Amino acid sequence: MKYMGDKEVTIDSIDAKLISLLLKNARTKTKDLAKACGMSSTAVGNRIKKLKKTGVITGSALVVKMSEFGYMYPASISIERSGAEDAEKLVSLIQHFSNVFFSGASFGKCDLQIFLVSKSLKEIDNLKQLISKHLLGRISVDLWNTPWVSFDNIDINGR
Amino acid sequence: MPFYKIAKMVGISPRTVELRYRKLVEQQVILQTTIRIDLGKIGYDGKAFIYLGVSKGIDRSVIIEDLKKIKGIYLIAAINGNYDILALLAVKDFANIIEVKDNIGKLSNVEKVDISFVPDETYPMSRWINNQIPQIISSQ
Repeated sequence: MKYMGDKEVTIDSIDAKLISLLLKNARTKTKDLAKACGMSSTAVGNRIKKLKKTGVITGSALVVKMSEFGYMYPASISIERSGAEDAEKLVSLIQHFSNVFFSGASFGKCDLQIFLVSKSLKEIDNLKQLISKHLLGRISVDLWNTPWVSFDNIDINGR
Repeated sequence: MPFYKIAKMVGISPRTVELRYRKLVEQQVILQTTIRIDLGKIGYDGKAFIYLGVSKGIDRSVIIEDLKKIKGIYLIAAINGNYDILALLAVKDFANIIEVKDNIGKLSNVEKVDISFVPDETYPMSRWINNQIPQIISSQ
């Protein structure tokens, strides 16, 4: 394995296959991974350890039906700043909202993107009000219908 | 997280954890368990949030089905606001964004395509910001 620049890691086709399988189901048993990759369970275990050590795999995530927990309103907030407000400070402020699962500076259509899931429209409005206290600009809120998600629809290409 | 670690945290046996986990999967409360990866380590530059405006009166589900076929798009939602559909794309490079934008622009009844690029390489979504809802993403 070699590092390309200060970030990229070289993975081979077997690593790529392991990542693809784990993206589909992170709880796939090692013996099933081994069978799919044509190697021993020990070898698979070592490869996964390496992928974690090199920071390719950073953890796991559970995808749940949020409505079961009362979170009925997935939404996104897009912010176009009109001034020189500190975007990082705003992102830092927003992070303390427990129902925000993504916030980040962006460029293109808008300057900041926020994804959240709320129990009520009032919660979304509260966040919008907080944002408008801290910056001048256009704040757009989009309410989502239930999203389609497929985490294994990306190319994982080993070299 | 292995079941035995969950069992220790919750104070029940690993076997009970596994049985409860399987029940939550059967009940479709838990939809999927996936891994989080650093896209930057494997040649990706970040994510693009693609906002689409479509022709009035069009069934958005048709366009959504076409979007699902585009490699790299991993989240799509019909939205209500200034746009009609939002898609999230894992971005390899700017040529990739342009190519995807061009392909989407060719879809029938797509009138507007706007994109925000976020240089965040966590996948599928950001590091969890607040531990109250650890890495939970809504889906159906």
